[in-house]
Amino acid sequence: MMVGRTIEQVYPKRPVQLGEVVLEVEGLSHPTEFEDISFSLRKGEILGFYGLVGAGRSEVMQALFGITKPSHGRILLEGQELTLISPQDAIRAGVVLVPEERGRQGAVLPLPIVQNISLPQLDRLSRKGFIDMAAEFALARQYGERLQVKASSWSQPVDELSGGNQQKVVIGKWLATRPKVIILDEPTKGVDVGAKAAVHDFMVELAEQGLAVIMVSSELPEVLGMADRIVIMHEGHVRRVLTRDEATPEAVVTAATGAEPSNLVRHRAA
Amino acid sequence: MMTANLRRREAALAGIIVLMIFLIGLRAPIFLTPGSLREVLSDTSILIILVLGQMLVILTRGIDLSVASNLALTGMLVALLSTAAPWVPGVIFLVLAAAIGLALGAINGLLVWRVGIPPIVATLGTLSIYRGIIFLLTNGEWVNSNEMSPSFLGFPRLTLFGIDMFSWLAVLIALGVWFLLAHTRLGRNFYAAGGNPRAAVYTGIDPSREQFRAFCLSGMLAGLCGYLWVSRYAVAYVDTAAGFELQVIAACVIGGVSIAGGIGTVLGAVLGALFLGVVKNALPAVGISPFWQMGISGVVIVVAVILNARGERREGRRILRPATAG
Amino acid sequence: MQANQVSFGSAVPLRATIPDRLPRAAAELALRWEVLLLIFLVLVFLTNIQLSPYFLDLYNLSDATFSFTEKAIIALPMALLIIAGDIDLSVASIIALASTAMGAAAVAGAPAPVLLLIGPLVGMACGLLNGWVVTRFAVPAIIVTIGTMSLYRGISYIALGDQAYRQYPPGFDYFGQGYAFWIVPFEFCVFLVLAVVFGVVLHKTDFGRRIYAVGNNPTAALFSGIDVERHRLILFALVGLMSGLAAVLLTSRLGSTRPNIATAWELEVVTMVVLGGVNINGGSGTIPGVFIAVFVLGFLTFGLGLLNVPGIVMTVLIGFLLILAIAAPILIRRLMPARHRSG
Repeated sequence: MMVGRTIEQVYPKRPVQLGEVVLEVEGLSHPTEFEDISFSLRKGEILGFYGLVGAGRSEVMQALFGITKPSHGRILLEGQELTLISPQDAIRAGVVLVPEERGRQGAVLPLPIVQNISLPQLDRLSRKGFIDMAAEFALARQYGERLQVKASSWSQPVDELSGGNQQKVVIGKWLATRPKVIILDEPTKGVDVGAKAAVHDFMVELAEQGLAVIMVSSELPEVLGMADRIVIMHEGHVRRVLTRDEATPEAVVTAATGAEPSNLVRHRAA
Repeated sequence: MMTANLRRREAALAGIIVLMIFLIGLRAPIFLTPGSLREVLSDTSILIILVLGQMLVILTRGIDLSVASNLALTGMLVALLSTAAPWVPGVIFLVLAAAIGLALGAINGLLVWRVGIPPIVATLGTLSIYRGIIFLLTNGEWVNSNEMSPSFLGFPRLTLFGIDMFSWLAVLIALGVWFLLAHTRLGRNFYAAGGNPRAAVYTGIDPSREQFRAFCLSGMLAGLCGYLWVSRYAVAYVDTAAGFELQVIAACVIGGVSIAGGIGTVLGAVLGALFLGVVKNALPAVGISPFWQMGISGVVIVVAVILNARGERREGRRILRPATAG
Repeated sequence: MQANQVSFGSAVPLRATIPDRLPRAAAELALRWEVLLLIFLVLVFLTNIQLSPYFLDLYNLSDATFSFTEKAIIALPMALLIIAGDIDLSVASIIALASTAMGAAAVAGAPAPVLLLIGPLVGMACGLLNGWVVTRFAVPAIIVTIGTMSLYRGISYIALGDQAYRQYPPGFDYFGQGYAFWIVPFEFCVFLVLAVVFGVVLHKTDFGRRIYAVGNNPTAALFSGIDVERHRLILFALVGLMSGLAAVLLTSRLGSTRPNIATAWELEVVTMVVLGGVNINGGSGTIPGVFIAVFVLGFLTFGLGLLNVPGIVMTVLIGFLLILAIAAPILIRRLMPARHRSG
């Protein structure tokens, strides 16, 4: 609901002490979706991924999460190389993805909030296979309250919540797994201004707590306002990586439309 | 709709059928005579017609498990009519059977469209109900050939240019369905409703209503086949064509009709039916006991389904331009 | 500059705490499928008592359980499979094949305990094949199992033709014909135990929870770290295993094997599951519901049998029941406004 908030879009980004590099991606490639993706991510950093729709950003993130298998390249988490065959591997390693499509990928809509939040870690919540329902509700309460989800009860089906609250449930579910890296794919798409601001505030808080955050966004103001660095993709390639200071709207959009040659090593003659 | 993929598939299927016929001919040369091949076509005609009807239903993302029961009930009804009114000409039986079948199919369609029951459940139910009605009507008694009128038995056996009515009907109906699908709005609607129901809604097509129409047509063809079956085998009883619906669905799958809806051609469906028909007729010719038929059908269905799936598999998003070399 | 009023992890308390669950009105509980089914069961029971004096005979009742226990054993894992979004129409053919395998082994001299192993193992192998084709090639289960339905029974026909296996070792008849306590058949006890096991697995374990997730939204389940393919494969194997077990019981009860045993059983099993409130499209349903439905169908057919209603007419009634069971909730929901969710 859009009550009681200023429309003025001021992003709550505060400078955060950056930690050591936690994620390194080198030359990640997929036969049809993206090629030679390389970047690094530090603790406490918010790394923005900008690009036009269809640039391949979600595809890269899904590869980082173990949904698709890259054909080349390496992913290093805290110095260790990761082989991701499935999302379970990624989750175990501490890399989680809040997907772009809330209803189709993010949450199991007909199920209650509490069951959605506990879904990735049923193992941890079960003793010899039996689910500890009390612990489950405790987890839902903890993260639901932390994200200020508005619902009539924790047993309310997620499809009865507003878009913003649904997104909070999805984010809460992943936070509950205590990840090292959290990837947010279009986290504020289809979300009202108030909940949007809440998510932004929350992202900054996560960064302050030492999480490494990747934010995929197609909204220029959002990415300029929130990201420490911006990776700009176009047609499956990384075109430029800009720091917060370097990132002007013109520079970002130019790179996103592929008009400017990449500031990385060129592969082929013009 | 025709894609290069499907054309390749039909060519391959046709090739396999021709190959089978030749191989069988090597073992039993009698098989290759025109008379024998005509017999195979005639024998397969009912399956072809049923497959065409089933195809329409599957195109719209439905499935009709009740076709055999529909066939049996309609067949029994017209058979009873022929005992009661032997002066009725054969053509009338055909029309009547089609009408009864249409009504039975419409019931399926209404259950799916108006009540909202999933097609598999609705037709699983009517599968039993229709066949059970036969029992209620006849108390388990049969209608034998001597009780059937000459016109009833004679009509489908009439020949034109040496080819009997069974085969002609199969050919005509195949042409009719092909025309329906390729050149009429109804046909296009079927493909749309099954291929992408949500998008179809936005163009003013009601997928459920198209399913209803498909069920009506499938029922009509099943009813028609009821008359043909009962007349051909000259007997009508409760277990007529029991289990035949599986052959029908198998032929559809072999012919490249996708269970997911929206994909399938008349040529493919007919070839699928011919494939099964040749196999069925080949077994006795080669000396394999008919007990092998079920097992072979089963293997063929599973293999066909797997091949179907690989052909249909949509590739992942193509974001990289092909020109971009690594 | 004050950015936003909302902050997290700070000392801003929520105005009201959100409860874990909302209290539910009695009316809502009364309209649950399981309750309605229970009422229907009582009605069936009372009607049967009225219509036939033989119904309440304990020996008759106990004997009545034989005919539906074997199907009911398959209905339990089938419920889980359908909740997960799949289906297996080849169960009756798996029974035929497992039974044929046992018959062949019996002729070769295998003793009863070995047969007890062969049946379920053959069944599980069939189930695994079903599951493998469905998951590996991403093909709809209904079509694959229509194919294997022909394949498995076809193999039986190839092996047996129109003959029958009749040689079964001593002791084998206990499984299908024996009584565990007084007049309670062994089969029935097996069913009761399995019903409890499946009920607990579906409703209390993490495995069961994941089945609901897979059935409701396989994509989201995958994105939540669930190994969707493995779960589906396990369920298919389970259905096959239970079909093999049912084959042991049925073969033991009949004392012989023919390729056409258990004809059309898949229809009855699916009817039990659907009547039990399981959504044919997956995502919802309970074991208690299926448990009650088993008895509804069982006593309905038994009562009709006492009234000398022929088998085929019973099939008609079961067909009607199936359609009604699906149509009723849809029509009721149309007549009632929104609120329909039950946890």
